[in-house]
Amino acid sequence: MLDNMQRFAFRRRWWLGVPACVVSVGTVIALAFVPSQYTSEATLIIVQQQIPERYVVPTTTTDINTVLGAMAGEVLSRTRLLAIIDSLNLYSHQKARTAPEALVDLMRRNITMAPVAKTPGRMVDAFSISFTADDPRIAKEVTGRLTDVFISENIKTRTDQATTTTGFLREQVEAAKQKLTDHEERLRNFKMQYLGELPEQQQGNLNILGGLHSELDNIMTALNRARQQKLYLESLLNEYRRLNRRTVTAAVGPSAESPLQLAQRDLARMRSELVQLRSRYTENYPDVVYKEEEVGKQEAVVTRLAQSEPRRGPTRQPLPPSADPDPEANTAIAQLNSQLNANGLEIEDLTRSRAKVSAEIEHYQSRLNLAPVREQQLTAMLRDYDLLKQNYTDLLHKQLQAQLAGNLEKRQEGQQFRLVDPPNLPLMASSPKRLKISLGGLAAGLVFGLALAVLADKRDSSVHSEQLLSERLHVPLIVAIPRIRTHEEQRAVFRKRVLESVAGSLLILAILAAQLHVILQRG
Amino acid sequence: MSRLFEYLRALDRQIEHPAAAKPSGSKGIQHDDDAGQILSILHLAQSGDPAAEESTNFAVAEVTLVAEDRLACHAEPSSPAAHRYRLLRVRLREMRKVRNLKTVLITSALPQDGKTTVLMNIATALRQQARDSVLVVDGDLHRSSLSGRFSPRSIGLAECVKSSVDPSSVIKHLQPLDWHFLPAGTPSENASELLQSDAAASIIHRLSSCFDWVLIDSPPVAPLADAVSLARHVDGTLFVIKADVTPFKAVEQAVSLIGRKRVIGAVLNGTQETDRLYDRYSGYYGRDDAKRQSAAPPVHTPPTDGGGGLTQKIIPRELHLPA
Repeated sequence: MLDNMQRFAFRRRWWLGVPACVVSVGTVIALAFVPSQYTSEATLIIVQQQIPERYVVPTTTTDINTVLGAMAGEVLSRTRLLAIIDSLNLYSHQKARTAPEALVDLMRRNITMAPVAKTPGRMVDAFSISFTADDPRIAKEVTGRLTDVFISENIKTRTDQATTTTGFLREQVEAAKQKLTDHEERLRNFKMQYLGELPEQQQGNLNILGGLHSELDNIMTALNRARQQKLYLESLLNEYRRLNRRTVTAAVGPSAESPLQLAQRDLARMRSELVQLRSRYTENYPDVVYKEEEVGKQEAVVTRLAQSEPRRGPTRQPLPPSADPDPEANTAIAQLNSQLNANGLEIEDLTRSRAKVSAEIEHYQSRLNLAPVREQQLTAMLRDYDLLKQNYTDLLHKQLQAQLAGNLEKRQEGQQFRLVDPPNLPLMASSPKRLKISLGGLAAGLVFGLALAVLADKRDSSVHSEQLLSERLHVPLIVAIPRIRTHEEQRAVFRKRVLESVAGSLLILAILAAQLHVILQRG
Repeated sequence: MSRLFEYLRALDRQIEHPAAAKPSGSKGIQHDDDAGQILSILHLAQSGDPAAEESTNFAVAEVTLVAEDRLACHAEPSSPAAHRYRLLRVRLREMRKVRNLKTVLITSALPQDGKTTVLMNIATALRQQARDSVLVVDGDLHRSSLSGRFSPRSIGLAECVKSSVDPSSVIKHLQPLDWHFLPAGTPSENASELLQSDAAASIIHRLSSCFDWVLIDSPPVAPLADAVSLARHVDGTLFVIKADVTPFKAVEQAVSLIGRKRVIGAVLNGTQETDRLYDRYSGYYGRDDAKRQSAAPPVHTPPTDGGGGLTQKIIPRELHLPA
């Protein structure tokens, strides 16, 4: 196969060489008409803020790609670029016949901004700005202008952003505060309106209600006692009256009991009842206390009757009814009446107290019944309150952070760009890549020539080798005879070969000269 | 009277009178059969021996060789081409061992493929070794290059076929090439018909019995049908293909027209590959050949007659070959 390739190359050497030379030289000639472009580049790094972020959280993003995207729109705006074009008189040849928008687009195409990745996987913290122009000085000047704009605009943008953020957050905090205040007012009004029905007052209400029940019980007990006292006093009064109405009593026989005796008999009965109660209850038991009071009162009655009994003697003839009552008995009756009156008042008072306490009990009971409803309402209001309060707290916190960040930006201690490599004055053209293009032209020429050679070989169906003939003809190849040349023909062949060698050398020299020209032009 | 004629007359007498003594053969040569005897006489006549030459009746023609003839076997026997022609000679002789191969048609697919050059060199190579008698027949009755070169304006094969002219009367023995030549004759418009005729076949057959090798030059296959006609009358056809020139399709078509079975082989003419191969090795062997070459006598170049470098020495015809 190598032999075949060698034979093919030799057979089609001009098909290979001439296109290669023509295309290569033509490429170099064409390159001569292409003006060189120079690129000036500057490198900026992102300097992180001096204060750790756990103390001051920046208000702006630190993602380099986002920063670049945002800044690119600002730096590459039409206004700025037109200002640079006018100040440096760029594209003077195109200005007359090209619209400003087209000039701006042209300039944008010549500007490159790209992050500089240091290590794979690591966040980029630097980027480069470059500008390409025909004149290296112009390229450097424009790159410098762009770099300055970049740095100043970044500071301004960050400051504005911090200020805007702070102002926005301030407004939000005020609004949240107002909402919170309104809700607190509503909450307060609600509590005032339903004071006593609130869930936190339920225990108090229960306690009061318990107390009221106790009081009611006491009132009822007192009322019952008073009623019993009334019955007793009434019975005693009736007794006194009955005794008072019987003026004559028989001498013989057992004499009728005197009031003193009746009183003593009642006293004895009460004392026995007291003893029974004490055997069952404590001293503080209401019935025991009441009975002790009755015993006390009865003892007072007995004492009073005992003091008035001797004046009447052991036996007394009852006075006829028409006769005047005993003044002592009248005194007792009067006392009883007064006691009855007092008792009546007491009963009235106790009745009123009972009604009042019952009303209060009912009132407090209704409060307790409404407590779940109020609790539900209050819960909803408190939930909203908590949310509003949380929101307000968060906004307040953010506002403070934004204020801190804004102060940091104002002092230029926040994240900022720093120029690491200033714009350089390019001494070597960045484009076109003359050597690459010329070598590419040479390669293209070779490929083109190869294609032509292959095409020519395909079209040439003549027999070139014995092997081919043997393979394809299926007729035995007896012998291959070399060419027989006369002396003149040999001389002609020799001349032709000399000419071919000269021409081939010239082709190679032309190619080498073209490449050398490109190399020297690069330097 | 030629020795051959005398021998044949003696044979006639023996046939008529079986008791007569068998005639003796040529001087120093005895064969058992008559045909061999005749051939031996012919060989002797063609040996270049002036005495033997006097016993043949073919006209001798002195030709002036020029470089454009490209007779490597004659002019440059140590050249790579001459070695190759000798190799071709060996191959042909090997073929003859396995098949009947006396009459060989040399043709090509297209004109200017070098068939005439190949034919002349083959004839010279065959003649150089073993002294085979070689007859070269110019079968191109339309545009003969051989006849124009070696026997212009003379009658030849065309007349033999048309007018039953005795071929021996027009056969010439070319010197210094030392092989016989039958010209094409007058160009004819119906050459294809003439070559297709039985007369042509008969003539070729008769000639094959008198010579060891009959090499026939023909027109190219593509434009004309002459080669196809001649191929039917010969033992085998040798195709000449010019390297880097003859399209392969044309060769295929030509071979298919001739008939693959009739083609004994192909000769690739003018390869550069062989040039480089021999250029590399001929320097080793060529020096010895060059020394021998320098010791050899120069090529005979008789004075020209101004008519193309050809002079002829005609010996009166005395032999009529049997029909």
